Amino acid sequence: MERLIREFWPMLLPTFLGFAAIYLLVPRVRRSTWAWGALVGGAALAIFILRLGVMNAIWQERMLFLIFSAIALTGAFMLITQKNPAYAALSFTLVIIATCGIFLLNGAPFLMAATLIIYAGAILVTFLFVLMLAQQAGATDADSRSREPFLACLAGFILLGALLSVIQRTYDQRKLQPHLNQVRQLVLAKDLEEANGILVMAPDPDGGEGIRLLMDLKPYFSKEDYAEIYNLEELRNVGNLEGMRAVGVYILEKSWERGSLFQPPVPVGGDVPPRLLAQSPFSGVTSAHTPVADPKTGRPRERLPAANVEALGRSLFTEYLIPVLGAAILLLVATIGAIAIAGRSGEVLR
Amino acid sequence: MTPVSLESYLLVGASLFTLGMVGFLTRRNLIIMFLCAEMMLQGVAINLVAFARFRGNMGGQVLTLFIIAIAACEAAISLALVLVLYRRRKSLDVSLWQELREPDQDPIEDDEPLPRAPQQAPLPTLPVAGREPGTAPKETSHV
Repeated sequence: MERLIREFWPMLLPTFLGFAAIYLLVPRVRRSTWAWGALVGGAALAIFILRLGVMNAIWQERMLFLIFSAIALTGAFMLITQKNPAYAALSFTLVIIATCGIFLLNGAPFLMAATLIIYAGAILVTFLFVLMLAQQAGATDADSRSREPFLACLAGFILLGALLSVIQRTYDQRKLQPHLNQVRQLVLAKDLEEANGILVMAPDPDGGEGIRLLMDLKPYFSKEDYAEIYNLEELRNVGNLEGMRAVGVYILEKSWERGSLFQPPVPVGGDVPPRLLAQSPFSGVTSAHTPVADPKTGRPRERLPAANVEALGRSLFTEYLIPVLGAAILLLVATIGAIAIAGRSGEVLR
Repeated sequence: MTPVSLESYLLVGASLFTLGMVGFLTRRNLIIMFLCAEMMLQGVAINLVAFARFRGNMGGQVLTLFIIAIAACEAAISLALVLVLYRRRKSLDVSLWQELREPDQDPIEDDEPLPRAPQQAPLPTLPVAGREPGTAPKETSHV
């Protein structure tokens, strides 16, 4: 318990403060001043934003990411705490717009446009329409009360604390970074001597001797991946520099998949990082720089293609054809169902 | 020069999801509850799109597109239900429907009355001056 708190307090503290602020601000019959809640909520947001691991990032992406996530979280907060449902719906629009920004940052322009049009344009307007139809007088009696705010905040705190701790434990790359730095040097090593200088031998805790870097990396990789990496020792003994580089690239690729802060594989001999080139079976873009091959299969690893809409369409109508048809049927059924439910009883369909 | 890590995107997604859940649990307005459910879907969509980017796989974006389709269906059905419920009770308050609870559960009652809105002071009125026009004596014609 003590270890848990010591290890995860940077995540648990903003979570706790955030739910304390929600508890203070949620609509209730006798609410004290909103200033305390707003203060606590602002502090929670600030700590959370500072805590997000974006320190080494490209500054444009970092700025945009921080702005969008701050807007999204503030909008979510306001959605919960607003008394007036119309204002709550408007703060939901804030959440949607910020989410669209995050989509765009992640290379999904089509989804950005679709979400903006469908959510902010269609769904929200229908919600507001029903709201105006049903509740014309603004906030009502039920809006200024809430159900079990303490228990709900407690449940939210436990869930979010668990989620954040697990995410941090799985994806936090801070401890892994120095080791990955060594791997990067290994990939860039010019000759065998330099590579051997990086792969220092050290006594193994199980007895015997092993490569220090391998022992450091072991806890971060699954068994299958580690078996792949473990070849490094043999390659070092044989003196195969190309093989060692390939294993280094493999390590970087694997850690990129887990959200490493490092730009993935440095192409051996190339000057453009392959991530910047659009390389994928879908994109059809050919480039002079071949992407780094997966040492297991020998094929180039997939990248998100540059032509997003084309790739999405191709993927939808080849790989996901049946689910698309299913979604179409679902939409049709939902439309019929909505008409059937909302039609007045006794009204005869002509 | 590295991109923002996957961890950060996942943290934001998880936060949106949980905030949506807390809103769904606490609020009593039907419309706000559905908005909170939509916000939970948004949190999941952020996760999926971030994974799609970091794994170089379009599957995440395709799934997000399906989420949008499902959300549209959900909105249509839920608004129809809200309209029907509103017609029965003339209110969007969910706790008016608590006879649907399990038989051994106690009902939730609002025992604390809402504080009254402060009464506005009556507007000042001017004293009546002059004759009221309707009560004027009829003048007889001298012509």
